[in-house]
Amino acid sequence: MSKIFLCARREYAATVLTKAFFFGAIVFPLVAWGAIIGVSASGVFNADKPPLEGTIAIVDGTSSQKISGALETALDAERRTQQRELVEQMFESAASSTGAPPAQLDQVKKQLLSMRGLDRELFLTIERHGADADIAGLQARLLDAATEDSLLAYAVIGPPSLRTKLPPEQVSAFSTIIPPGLIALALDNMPQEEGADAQSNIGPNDLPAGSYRIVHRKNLDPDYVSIIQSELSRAVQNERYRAAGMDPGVVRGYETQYPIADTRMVGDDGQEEDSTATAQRIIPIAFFMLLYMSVLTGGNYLFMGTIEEKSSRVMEVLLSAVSPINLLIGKLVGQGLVGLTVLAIYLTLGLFAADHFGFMSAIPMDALPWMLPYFLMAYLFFGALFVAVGSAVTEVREAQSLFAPVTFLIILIFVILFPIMDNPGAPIARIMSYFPPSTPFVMVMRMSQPAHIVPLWEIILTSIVGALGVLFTIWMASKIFRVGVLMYGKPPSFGTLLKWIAQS
Amino acid sequence: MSTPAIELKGVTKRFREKLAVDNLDLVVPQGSVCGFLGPNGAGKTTTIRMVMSILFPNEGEISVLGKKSAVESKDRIGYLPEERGVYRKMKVGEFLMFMSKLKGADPAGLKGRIEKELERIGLTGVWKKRNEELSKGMQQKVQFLATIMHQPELIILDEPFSGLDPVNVRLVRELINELHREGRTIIFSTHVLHSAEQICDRVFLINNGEKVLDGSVEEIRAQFDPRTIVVEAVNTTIDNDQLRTVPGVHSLRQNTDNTVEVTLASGADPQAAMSAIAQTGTMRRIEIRRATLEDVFVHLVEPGDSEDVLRRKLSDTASGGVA
Repeated sequence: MSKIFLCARREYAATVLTKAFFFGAIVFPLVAWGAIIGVSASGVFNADKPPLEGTIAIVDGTSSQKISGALETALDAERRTQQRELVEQMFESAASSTGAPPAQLDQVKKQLLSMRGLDRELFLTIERHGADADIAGLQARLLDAATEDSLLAYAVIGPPSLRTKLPPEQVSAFSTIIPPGLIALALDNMPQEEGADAQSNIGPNDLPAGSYRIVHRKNLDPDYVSIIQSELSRAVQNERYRAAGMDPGVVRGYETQYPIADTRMVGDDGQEEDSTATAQRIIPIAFFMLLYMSVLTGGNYLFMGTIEEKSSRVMEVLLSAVSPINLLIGKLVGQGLVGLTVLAIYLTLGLFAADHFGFMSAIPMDALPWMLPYFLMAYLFFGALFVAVGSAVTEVREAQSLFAPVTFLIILIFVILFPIMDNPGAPIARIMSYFPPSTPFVMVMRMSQPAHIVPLWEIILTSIVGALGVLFTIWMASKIFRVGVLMYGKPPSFGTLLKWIAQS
Repeated sequence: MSTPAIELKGVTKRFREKLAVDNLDLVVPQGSVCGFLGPNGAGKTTTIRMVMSILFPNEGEISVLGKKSAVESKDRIGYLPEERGVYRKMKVGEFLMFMSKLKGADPAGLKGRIEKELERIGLTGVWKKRNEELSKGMQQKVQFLATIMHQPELIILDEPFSGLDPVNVRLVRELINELHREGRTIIFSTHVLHSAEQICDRVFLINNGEKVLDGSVEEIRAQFDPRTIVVEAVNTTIDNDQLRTVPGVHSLRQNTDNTVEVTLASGADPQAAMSAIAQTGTMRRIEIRRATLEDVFVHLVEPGDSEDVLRRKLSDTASGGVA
């Protein structure tokens, strides 16, 4: 027992009390985290893009032919400059009247400006076309990079009347639930039977519903595409309001006059708290990452340490003092504590961050204690595999082929991560709860989601399955370890490992 | 007679189809220094690993310090494996503390004892150095210390002299002698027959997994002694044809330094042969050379299938490591 303790303590000290661990596991993540926040605040991510110059063709299928004009007005460079200046002035006066911190005001101002794309400079000419325009010609001009054609995009606007393949009485039955335009768009955009031509050269009257479409050059910046798209939307909508006898200004006013002030929820203590709906989606991922990082850190040190003991030939010296199984246990315990140290450091940092950003109440405190058993389960399962591979080879590069099955398991866990995050009660989540390599990871995610209740019997049953898996890998690892630690020379194949396991 | 430190009865070890150790019987008496000799691949390390319960025999019984297995008396044994190394990043002092404690050394005053021993083997001031900063020879000495710091009754050294320079070979030899005087049982395997001869009081020789020689050094010498007479003429060359006619002479070997080694046939009277040799010319010296372990080794191992290879290995070892 005392020998296991000595081995474990050496493993822990040799790993944790090193500069590499201090910098790699603590300083580097902190610096990286701080750097990302600092850098994003400093604004280097917001590149000033060159002004967009060029032509946009509008193929207007409406009878009134007013959309091109409306868009021309909306995108007029001079008008946009005035709007930008107005916003700037408003914030200047707000700075003195509200007394809000300038940095925060600046942030809000930037957000508002980018909402209408006012933070970008546009010098666009609108080219008007009727419903009978040569769409193929426009398409060819977009492709033609050699000539100095400045056409950036063309938009095709369908007639406002709604045409669908559904019988009108069905459309009107649905219309209170789902807007008819969306029904029509969804139905008409269904994949056609095979052999049908790819959609191209679509004129206003070919559009599925009362919709419109934009076709742009391949190299047009996505930022500008979305500005053009949203301005076009507004222009089309405004025209339709007018056609129905409504004042677009009034409608827009109603749309934005009554925003939701706040979303609050009732906390455990009966007091109102900030709603943490967003945080609740992120937290299971955070729990998963915490588990994943600490398990792989411990496992990796286990792997590297075993290889080092073999390649430096200290292994047999150790085996003269401890039995292989005690050495194995000592190593598992020692690096397990390393993994727990990593887990504790990051969990503490995470809790501080949660407190600082005000979503502490979103963290499921009753799920936290479960991190320990699930860490042990995951660590022992993967740690045993890591140490078994490490004991079988003499150099890291020899381990690649033997590692393939372990890598496969790790990737598998990553693949199921996102579906389970969205749907902790889905069959895949429940099935993978009973697959020992993924049991701890899936269970931690399921349990850390407040909206999802895991029944107790499932916790117990999956724990039993997981524990059996752990016993199996440790048994396997001890067989491989016992033979592997004294094997030098040609690295064993996967089949050889199986033979070692089969040996008594 | 007290229980032997190590006793092997009919021990056989196979690695798949290869027979590494074949029906080996061995007795190492307590308090003795035993040399465990044999050419490369003879099965020495395999035998030692079985004694240490690192490998297990297919057949036969092993008892170590009166116990059925070395596992039960691990802390009473000091073992220096052939494949040995140190934790490269660990500090020398920490490493020795760790290894000593792992082998159950009394932690009280351990640090002081280790420092004293380090000083004795000429490694003063290395406590805080990393193992990787030491030369290979220094690391070897550190490993030797790690083997004996817990005051084991039985010390098993697998090739303790490999990688040491002549000065350190002598140092380790003295350490072994000292441990012997303290009443500890020591068994070591080696190719360095010269060293074995100087410190062993018992020798085993195995070849191809079989024991071919087992006895005290004196017994063995008596068995092979005296067979060789060295002859040196005053200034003329020796008439080899005439020497061959001397009764009892088996063969001759002309050495480069103008001497001739005369090997006698088994059972010949050396005294009679020497006086007969003296008749053949004016000799500067005629002397009986004591059989060395090397003579014995080569004589016994020679019948094996790869004589030349073996000879080369032996001379390599001898020129590589012996003072």
